[in-house]
Amino acid sequence: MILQFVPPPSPRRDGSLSCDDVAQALPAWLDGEIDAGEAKEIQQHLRYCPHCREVETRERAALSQLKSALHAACPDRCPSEALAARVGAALRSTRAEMRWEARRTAFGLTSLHAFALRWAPLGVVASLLGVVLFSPRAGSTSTAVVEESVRQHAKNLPIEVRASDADELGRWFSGKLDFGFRAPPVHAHALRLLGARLSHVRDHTAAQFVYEGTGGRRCSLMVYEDPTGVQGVESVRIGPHTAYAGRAKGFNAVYWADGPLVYSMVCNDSVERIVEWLAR
Amino acid sequence: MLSFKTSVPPKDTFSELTLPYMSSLYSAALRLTGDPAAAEDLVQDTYIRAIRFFDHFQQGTNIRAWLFTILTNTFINSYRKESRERAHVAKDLDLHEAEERLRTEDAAVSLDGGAGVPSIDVRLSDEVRKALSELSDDFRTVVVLVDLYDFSYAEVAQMIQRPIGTVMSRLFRARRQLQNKLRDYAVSEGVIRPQTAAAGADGGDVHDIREGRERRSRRAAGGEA
Repeated sequence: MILQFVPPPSPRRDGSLSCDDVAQALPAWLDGEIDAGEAKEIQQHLRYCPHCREVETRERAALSQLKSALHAACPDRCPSEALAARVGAALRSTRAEMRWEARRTAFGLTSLHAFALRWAPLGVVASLLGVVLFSPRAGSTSTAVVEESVRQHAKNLPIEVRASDADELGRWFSGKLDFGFRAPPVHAHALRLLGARLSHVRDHTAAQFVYEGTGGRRCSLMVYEDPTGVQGVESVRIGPHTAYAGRAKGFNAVYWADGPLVYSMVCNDSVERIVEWLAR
Repeated sequence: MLSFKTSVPPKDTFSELTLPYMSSLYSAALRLTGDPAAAEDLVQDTYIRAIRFFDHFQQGTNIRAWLFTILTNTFINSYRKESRERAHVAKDLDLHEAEERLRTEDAAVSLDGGAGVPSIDVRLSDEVRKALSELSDDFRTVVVLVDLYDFSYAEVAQMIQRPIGTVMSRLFRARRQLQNKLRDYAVSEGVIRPQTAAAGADGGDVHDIREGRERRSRRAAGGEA
């Protein structure tokens, strides 16, 4: 424990407390934060000192009034149903992530070790080649936004509400999210809107729109609130916005900020194709 | 041999232990952040961190204090009002609306005779919330935890990761600031006379508000009769 307790009031030569000692210890005494021995000494002083007794009575009343005023002004408020639902959804999603992480740790490490030992020499050569060939673009494909939105997309979780109209889905989200938004228009022939679900990106509650692309490929558009914006290296234009592209787990993601909202489109297709769909 | 041991807590245990505190956590978050939307985010973040670190919680110890520790840490690290204010000027509007709504709820139970004028209790509560929101984040955090949620100095010291002496000095200074602001309010309302306020400057002020209020309401009742 890093803590030290309330400094004890220093006794006078005769062992009893002075009025100054009592005044100094008074706030902690009123909060019941003085240990039994010291409390006894203060009690003894108060018994024989009308001045300190008066101060103690006044301070006790003032503190009690302040506390009642605070309690009256700030009673416990019931959380809204929307918050309870949000917390429930966040907990379900976090549990799923934790289960996935636990499995990855349980299975991944041992096979990874064996793999690493066998292919280490080749890995060193490949890394050196990688450094030589791709160093100017290092870091451009591994941002938190990309990894998190790809992770959510790759879970392939069931759609919570099915509709092909973005506005109708937008209405479904109102009350479930504490931000309003419109899904950006996409190329209707290339991407068919299937529905939506509540999701999470980097601890933010997110709206996830699920589309079906050419050849039955599933794509997700994540929308969440993050006023700190986004950063990236590989930039592309989406309408008036500067967007960035990234890649994780075999998926491409194109993401951009629009005011306080962040949009991230994830698909198993090329960045050019994704940009083309969104540019509509 | 692979180990299938997982740190995902059993759903029932976690939910049963933590969900009953959502209203306390939300209310405290509302006081700390001063912004309903930020308060909801803070509660959600608290629960996400709580489930992630649930294996650090020692069963049988105080779950309420543990949850408040996470809430306070998360607030200090990510939600401090001073840092949010720069990014979220527009959210003040939300807070104003929320306080207005809460004020209306308070008024619904404490208006006398449905006259449509907020009673002095309601106005005093407005003033208390205002005074609380004007404290610095450090002072408000300590006064909220000790005076509203009854945590001990030692518990708060652990929550804010500062020595007990710091908790004490922040608490006493925060209380003094609140008392001074409420005394100024009482003077401006004519509940107490300036000289009484000056005499009671060392702490008898809030007590005076109540006495003055009772005197005033007795006078008002007599006048109407």
